[in-house]
Amino acid sequence: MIDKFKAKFVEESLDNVNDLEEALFALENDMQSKDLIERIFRAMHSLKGGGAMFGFNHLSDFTHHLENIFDKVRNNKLDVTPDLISLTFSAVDEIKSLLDKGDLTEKEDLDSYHAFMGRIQSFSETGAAASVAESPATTAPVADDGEKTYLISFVPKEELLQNGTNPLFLLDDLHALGEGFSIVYTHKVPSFEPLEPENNYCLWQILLTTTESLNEIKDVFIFVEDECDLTVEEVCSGGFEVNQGIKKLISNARSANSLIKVSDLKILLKKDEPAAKETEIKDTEDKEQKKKKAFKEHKISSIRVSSMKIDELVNLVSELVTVQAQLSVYADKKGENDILGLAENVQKLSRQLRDNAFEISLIPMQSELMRFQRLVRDLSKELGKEIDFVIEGGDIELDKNIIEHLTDPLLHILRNSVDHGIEMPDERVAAGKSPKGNIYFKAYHAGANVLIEVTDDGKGINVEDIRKKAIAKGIIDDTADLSDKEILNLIFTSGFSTRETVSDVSGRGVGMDVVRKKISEIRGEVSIDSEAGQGTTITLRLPLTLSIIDGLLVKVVDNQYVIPISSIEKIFALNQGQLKNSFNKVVVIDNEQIPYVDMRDVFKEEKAEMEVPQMILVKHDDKRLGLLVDEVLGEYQTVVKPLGRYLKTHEVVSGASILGDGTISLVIDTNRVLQMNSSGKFKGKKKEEGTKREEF
Amino acid sequence: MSENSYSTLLSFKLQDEFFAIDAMRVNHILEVPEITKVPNTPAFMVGVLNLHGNIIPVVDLRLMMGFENTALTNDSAVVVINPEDQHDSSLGVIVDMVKEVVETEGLEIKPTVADKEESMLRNFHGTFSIEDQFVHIIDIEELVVAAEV
Repeated sequence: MIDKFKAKFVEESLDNVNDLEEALFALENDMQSKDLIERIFRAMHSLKGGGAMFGFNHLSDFTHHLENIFDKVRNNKLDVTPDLISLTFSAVDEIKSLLDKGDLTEKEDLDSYHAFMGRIQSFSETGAAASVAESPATTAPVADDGEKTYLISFVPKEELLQNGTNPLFLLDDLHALGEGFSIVYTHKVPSFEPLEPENNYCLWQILLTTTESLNEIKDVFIFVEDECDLTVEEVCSGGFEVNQGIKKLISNARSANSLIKVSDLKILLKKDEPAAKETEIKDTEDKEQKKKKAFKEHKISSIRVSSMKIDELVNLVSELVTVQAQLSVYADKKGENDILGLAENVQKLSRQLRDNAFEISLIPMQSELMRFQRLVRDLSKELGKEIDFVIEGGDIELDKNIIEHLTDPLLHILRNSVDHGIEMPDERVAAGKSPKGNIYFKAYHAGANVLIEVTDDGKGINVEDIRKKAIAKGIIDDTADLSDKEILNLIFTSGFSTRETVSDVSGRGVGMDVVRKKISEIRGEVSIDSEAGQGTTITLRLPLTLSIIDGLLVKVVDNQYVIPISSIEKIFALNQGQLKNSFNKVVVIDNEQIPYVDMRDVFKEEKAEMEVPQMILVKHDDKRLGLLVDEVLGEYQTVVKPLGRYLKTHEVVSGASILGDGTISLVIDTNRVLQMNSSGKFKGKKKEEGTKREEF
Repeated sequence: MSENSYSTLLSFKLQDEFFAIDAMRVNHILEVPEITKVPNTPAFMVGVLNLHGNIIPVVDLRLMMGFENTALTNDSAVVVINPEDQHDSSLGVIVDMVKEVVETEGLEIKPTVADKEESMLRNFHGTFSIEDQFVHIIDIEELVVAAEV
């Protein structure tokens, strides 16, 4: 994880460095500007601090000395001179390279670093550029780093492929060891008739420059030893260049149906020795350039954009998707080939654009995890508990809006786990557990959802206590026949969890109703599982993105509604008989009793006889419910838009989506329908309707 | 009556009476378009409409004010207001007729005498008269709160 922080630090530091450079340019033109000097000082200061924190000790040291100079400038002990500015500019380059490399380990780097440091120190003492012309290390000859070039002849037998070996992977492995050049020989490939497609007819020679030992190279072929003839011969020390001579050697060998001989190569490379030297130098130059290039690329490999802009992008894309759907409808109606083609292209493009835009708005949860760790750490210290907090899946990405809404509920859940879940060390020991409690935070993908589990091995929740409490609070009847899981989930009911119940029940559930509410605002679900004495798991099920869903378009009386496909299990066509015979709103399908509600009742619509009622079976956790609708119109991918603040608290409808023809259909929140149904809200609705009106 | 933070008002007609709101809060005036009914909402919440891809809830101001006739005519309009500069607070308001934009400068605004029992809105920013008609200035804040379902 620290690597991520480092990367982030480097990213931010580069911003600082840019700022520093900018200020330096400005200072060059206006050497007296106090503001600019302050700005430079500040930038250096944050580089120094951050550097030390993230283990960039050289960077921190270096900037410290640089900062000293500017401290003097700031206090008028030193004047801004062109010398100072150019020294600082080259210091900025050094900072960049320190950011790139982290702490230096290579001797040459260290040499140049210390030389530069000397210049800065003497400057800060004397106020003049030290006359050390250039750091000696940069002109020092490149040390012989033990590179050698080998000629590897790899002549596999024909059966090589039959045990699943892919010779190309072996070549890749070789190339990973150093700079390599592969030569393939195909002269053994027979003509088409006798060719066995499952046999291998190719052979290879590889010129490899590496610092690895001979054995290391041979190890690559360890699994195919018996299926090939392998020779590895040293050609020369240092690298090689694929020049005319070698090319000629290769083509000669090819036309003679033989391989390159190492002796020929030796002669060739010896002759080339001076040239090889040159290339070596060129190589190092190349490497320098590559490094620089990599550095530059690093600078622009990620940009920071205000989240507002991303929100806007996502909004615009959503709108584009809507308009595109309208275009498709129009094109279908017109039936002209040109416009149909265009509409199709627009659809393709907007789909890609949409995926892309949504990907941009996804961020890893990592960023919030630090806060969770701090919370667990601080709170457990405060309470005198010992807790191991393990995080898994921090790299899971979620829509940033979801993450924003997620932080508070998760903090809440964790606080409960630490405070009420995990016992004090002595209690734990008495219960036969290790004194150290464990909290696992685990995030993972499950279909179109992301699941987050927070598990503790604390004292858990006693189901019976919850049941009694719920009865006492009048939330359930004392005759209610509920499963343990259902009882546990009562703690999410509003009115259940208040402070006092927490202390005398099992100590959990402060404001769990708030957690559920917050999570359902982002179309998520929360559930709990607990065993007394063993611990508790709270699971959040979250959508990947807020704004797009796959939906089933249905018709209830004259209105169209969208039901999220993710919550649908099956669709049945019923006949009136099945409904008439059904008692207590339960229909029997495949010997299973399924409770159902008529959506016309839910929406308080006039009832007429439905011709072929369609029942959409939705489920949530282990509850299932059939929703009766007049008609199923089809499957659509739609952009879900919020209903705005006026309808935010609507009991059944959670959003709206605009169809291709511009009309609106409302999105049904099936979980809420389920909840309402199990709390008996649809029964005796007439009466309720009356009271409801009065509330408004 | 409250301080006048506005200088222009949009006046409109509900049944036979005239009302006005801060014109700077008005974003659009539309002919009544197709409105999608939202079930299980109070009668004054007519539904939602699609305005350039945004979902805007629409209330019938006549019902909120306690008038009974909700028939739509050629003059009926939806005034879309944006009370708080926030995207999600846009609200469409059905009125019987949009009249005019009035400058408040030079208007004599007196306290409103509101006594309509059935009205959900009781606080007005004042009443002025123009062309022998009384015009009551609606408190948008109150309207917004009343419209929340």
